[in-house]
Amino acid sequence: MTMIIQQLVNGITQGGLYALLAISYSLVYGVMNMVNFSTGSIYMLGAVGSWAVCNFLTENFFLSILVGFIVGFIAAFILEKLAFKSIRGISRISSLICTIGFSQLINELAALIFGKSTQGMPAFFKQPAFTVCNVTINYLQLVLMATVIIILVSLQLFIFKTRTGLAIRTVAMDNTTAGLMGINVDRTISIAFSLSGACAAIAGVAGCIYYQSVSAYMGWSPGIKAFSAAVFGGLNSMPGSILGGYLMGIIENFGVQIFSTGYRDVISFVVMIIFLLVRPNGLLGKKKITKV
Amino acid sequence: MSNEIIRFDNVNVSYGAIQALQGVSLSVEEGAIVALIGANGAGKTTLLNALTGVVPVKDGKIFLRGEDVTNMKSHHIAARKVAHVPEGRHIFAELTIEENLRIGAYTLHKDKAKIESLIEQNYELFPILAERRRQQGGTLSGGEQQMLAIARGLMMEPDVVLLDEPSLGIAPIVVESIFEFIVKINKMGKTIFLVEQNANLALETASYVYVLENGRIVNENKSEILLQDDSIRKAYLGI
Repeated sequence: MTMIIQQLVNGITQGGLYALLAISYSLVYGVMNMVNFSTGSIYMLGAVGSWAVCNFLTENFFLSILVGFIVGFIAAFILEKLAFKSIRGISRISSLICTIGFSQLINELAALIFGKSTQGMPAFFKQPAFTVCNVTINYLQLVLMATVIIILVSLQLFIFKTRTGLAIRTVAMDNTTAGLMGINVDRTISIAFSLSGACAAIAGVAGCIYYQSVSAYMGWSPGIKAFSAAVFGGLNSMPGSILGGYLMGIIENFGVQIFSTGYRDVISFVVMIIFLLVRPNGLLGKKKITKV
Repeated sequence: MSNEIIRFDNVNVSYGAIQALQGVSLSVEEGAIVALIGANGAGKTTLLNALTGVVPVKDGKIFLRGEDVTNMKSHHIAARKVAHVPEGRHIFAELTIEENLRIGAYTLHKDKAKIESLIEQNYELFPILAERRRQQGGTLSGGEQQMLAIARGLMMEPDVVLLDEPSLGIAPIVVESIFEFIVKINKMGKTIFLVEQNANLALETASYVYVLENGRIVNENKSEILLQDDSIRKAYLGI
């Protein structure tokens, strides 16, 4: 029982990070029909941003999150304008390779500036909050869970309740017709892409605080695993990718408990492969219906 | 012509090596119903797409009320009160009918009262849509989808309505009522530029007709004159 609750709490905390990253993937996939493998690099940029805040300014959790948001938004904005705007409409495989290339570029640039060694992060909210069945849950886990949920809810509100959100949904459905309706497609894609970057970067801030470490290459593994989480839940469905993110976190933590820590990455990919075989559209993914 | 609203001046469009439009010149008078007829693959859809920025124009110029709008982005054309009802309707299948209409009013910003009144107007014009306002767009029949696509276009309060093959894939009896709507919309003061494969219908509805063949305008005239034209009768009306 203790083990189950412990791994469940760990899984939900970690799953929240995957959920943020997964929604970042599905937001970009929705409007650009592109799998953005530089998501993990933006995760890392957010983490580095918050590390800079804690190192040079003040050790403040909320300021770190805010800086992560801004860093991710701006980085993604520039990345889209500079690179991905010009490759829009090329084949999915080419754009995928292009995003991997940019991911490497960002990682290596970060390694040049930040250094290749891993840096520590200060501990936030380490006091225990309460104990259930011998499992101690600390404030950090609660704060991280709450942060993720607040961001996911705000994003949903933005997408479903605002005019820009309507534009994003319309572009995701049919960008040519969206243009005919008077929607500025370029601007809408730019906003969606920047927001996806902001989500990824906040996940990075949360991740580096949770694990108390930052490095230039830290984005690779969560980036890939969150992609498999998004596929697992349904890449073209936002609720699906959130669900996929949480489930992936939980499955991974139970898997580690059952097998061993060495199999951590194997577990998430096995889950994705099985799912792709059984249900290619993911848990909540929609099949694209083309009606002529 | 002082009251022309659309003018094409020697427009060329190509897809790679294929020339889709070759030196097309035409003009649409304000308040009229003008039609463009031609066989499948003649370049009719390309012509509308060139106007609304869906495909790039290689050469030549397109004017809207005298303003050069060549290669302008789609949303800028929409902002100039041109509604393009695309071929195949392209309604948003997962959204309800009412949501589809609201997207059509995107350019009206937050003028809520106006949007509501436009929705009501469209429901009056197309009562079938009012009955199904909460239904997903994809569940409608072809003819109903076409009505929705037209209604969605009207939501931006356009001066010009571009209709691309409104009769395509629709039961003949419904086609008739759709064309009645088109005349009605024209009487509301909107200029109609109609692209149609069904030459008979186009000649009946429009006052002026252009004939497009292999990307070139090969004939143009008032519809009553074209109806008497032997080459048109043979090629397009099957008489």
